[in-house]
Order: sequence, then C-alpha cells, then structure tokens
Amino acid sequence: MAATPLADKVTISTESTGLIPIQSENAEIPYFANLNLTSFYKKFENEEILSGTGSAIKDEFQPEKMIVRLYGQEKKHPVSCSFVTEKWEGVVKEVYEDGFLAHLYKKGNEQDIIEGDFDFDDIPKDDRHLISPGVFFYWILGREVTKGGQISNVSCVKIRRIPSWKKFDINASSPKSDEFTAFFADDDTSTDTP
Amino acid sequence: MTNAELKFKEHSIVLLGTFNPVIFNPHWLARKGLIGNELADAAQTNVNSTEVSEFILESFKILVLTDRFIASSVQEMHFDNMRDLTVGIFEYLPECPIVKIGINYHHHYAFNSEEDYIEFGHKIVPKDPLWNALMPEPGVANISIQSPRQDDYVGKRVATVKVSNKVQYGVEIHVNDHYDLYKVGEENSVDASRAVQVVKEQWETSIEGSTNVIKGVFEYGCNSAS
Repeated sequence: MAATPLADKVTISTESTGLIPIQSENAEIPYFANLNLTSFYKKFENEEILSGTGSAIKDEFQPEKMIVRLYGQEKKHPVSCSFVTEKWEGVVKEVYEDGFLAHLYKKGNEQDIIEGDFDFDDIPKDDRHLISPGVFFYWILGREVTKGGQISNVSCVKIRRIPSWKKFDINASSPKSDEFTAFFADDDTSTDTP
Repeated sequence: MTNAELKFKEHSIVLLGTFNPVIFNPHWLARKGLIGNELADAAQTNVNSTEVSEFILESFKILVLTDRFIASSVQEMHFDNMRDLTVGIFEYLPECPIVKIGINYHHHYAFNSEEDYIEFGHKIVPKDPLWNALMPEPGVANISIQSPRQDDYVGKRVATVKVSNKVQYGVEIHVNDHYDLYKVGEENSVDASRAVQVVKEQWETSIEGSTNVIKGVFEYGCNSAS
C-alpha cells in the first residue's frame, strides 16, 4: 500500500497531536520531520482524529507497516539504499506449475539445509524462465530506505546469472554438502569460460 | 549507546586495465543473458561512446572508461548480484587485459551532534601534542592507513576515514582492498582470468576483512565520544 497518497489526505492539527512541528523553509504549514504513524495511530485511534478527514479509512490504514512523512519537505535520507537483515543461498530442487521447491542454506553454515517453497509470483518475470533444477539463487530479506526516508521491509529472490559454474565454483563456494556437489559434478558442460 | 547511525553502505569493484567502453551497455548484457530484457529496457543509459559508458541498472551503476571498469551500488541487498554481473561480464570478455583490482567497501555514519562528530575525529587522530601546536582548531578531513596484504596476492589494504559528502555530521569509513594481478615481465599473459578468479575467491573474505576494519575504527572512535 502506498503511504504517500494516504498521507496527503490526512489533515492533522499539530496542536491536537501534541507533537512539535518543525518549520520548513518554504512551507506555509508545519510538517513532521519523521512521524512514525504506528505510535501515532495507536495513541489517537480512540479519539477518531482521522475520521474528520473523510478519506482516511481504517481498513486501508496499516500503520504497523509504514513510517510516513507528512507534508513533504521532510528531512531526507542521503540516498535510496538497502540493508540486508538475512541472506540465504538456494538451489532449485523441483519445479512445479506455479512455483518451485528449493534447498536453502546460509553462507558459512552450508550443512544446515532447509527446504522452502517459492511462488513464481515472487520471482521477477525476467528470471522465471531460468528456473530449473540446479539453478542457484539468493533469497534476501532486508530493509529498503528511500530518499524520502520511508522504510520498508522487503524480501527478494535473485536468480544467479553466472554464465559458467564449474567444479571450481561448486567446491570453492557453496553448497558444500555432498548432495549438491554430486548433483553438479556431472554438469560441467559450459563452454563459455576459457 | 552509540552516538552515530549507519546511514548507508556502498560497495564497488574497480578493475584497471584496457577496456572498450562502447560495448558495455544494458542490451549487450541482456544478449549475453547476464540481465533480463526488462531490466535492460528499464536501465538508464547516461552515455555510451568509445571513451566512456555509464548506465544505471535497477540496483547499481556501471561506469567504463578506457582504463577502468567500475561497478558500484548502495543497495546491500544487491551487492552479490553486482559481483555476479562483474564476473559474468569478464567471463564473456576473457581477452580483456585487467592488471589491478580494488574491492571497495564504504560505510557512511551520521553523528547525533556536531560535538560527537568532532570528538570522533579527535579520537581517531589526537591533536596533541603536534597539531594543536601548529594549527588553530585542527580537524580531520581525510586520513588513510595502508597495510600490505597478508594473503598470497600482491597488493595492499587501505583504510580511509574522511568527512562524508553525503551525510551531515557524517563520517565515511572506506576500505580499498587492492590487488596487483601481474608483475613486471608478465605483460604477455595479461587477461581477465585472474581478475575473475580473484573476485570469485576473495569476495567474501574481502567484505569480512573490510567490515572488521570499518567496525573497529568506528567503535574505537565512538568510545570516547559521548
């Protein structure tokens, strides 16, 4: 759900919220530099402060999922960036009609393998045709921070597009389990690498 | 309690050698299967000529000059993709002469106050007895410390602490993990294969080593700043 349109519809008196407004250089109205609506919403939901806007509908409102800036001109983050909170490496094991089964492990802990099901809907369209047994991918959980300062939790699956995987790569990187090594030992067919 | 916040990380791979910039463009990458067609179509190409090529993919930027190739990103979630793309490119260009590699890692920290920011600099580079005696209000602008490699490669690791140009009251701590791939007299054997091998083999080690340096500097500098 996009946070900005909702924020545009909300009119909040700084006096009634008790929050300290920060004057921007050009704005005629005060704005909040970085207002976490989670606490704001919980604090004021019984006072129905949002109902006065006529457009902030509770069902649309998922405050636990967003940090919203109101009235623009806010203190900005220097760049749009992301941070990894958890990273898994995976190998596709079986492909179904609408998804696939994969073995997942963490770098440095290749012996602890878990299984995971993924839907094709979670895979970029560009990458779906690449999915077949034996394909490597990353499953990364993290946080994205926009220049506007909005933070969102995200996960993404990135299929690895390395043109050649030889025994060197399999032995030198991951996974190190006998099962995977055996699987790829016979798959030395690439002619792309000198 | 830390008095500074990590605002963003930046990662880059710098390859020095001889390149033909005009061939580096998003659709060439797509034709080789290194990126998808949709990503290639959505890429922002700033320039593509015989002298320089620069384009921005979804999560990182590629800049190619006649003497260097640079892939950089501030999206930590895509650092490994950047590595894979770089390796993939030069597996398709094995004849490309690459003589040096830098795997660079940057952290930008923002301090809560100007006092903390200045105190961090004083902790990293004490101003007494030398600088206070020579200059009024001395402050750190840029300091680099280098160390020879301890592995089988020739090169050095250079740590730099400087004022961040992206963050207010910010400090950038940067490690350049540098590899000299060829020695004098080996010119006839120069190609991309060693570069590809180094990036593949050293990536994780490099990140781990650089992160240790960056965190060590940051924590040391913050200990005295309160």
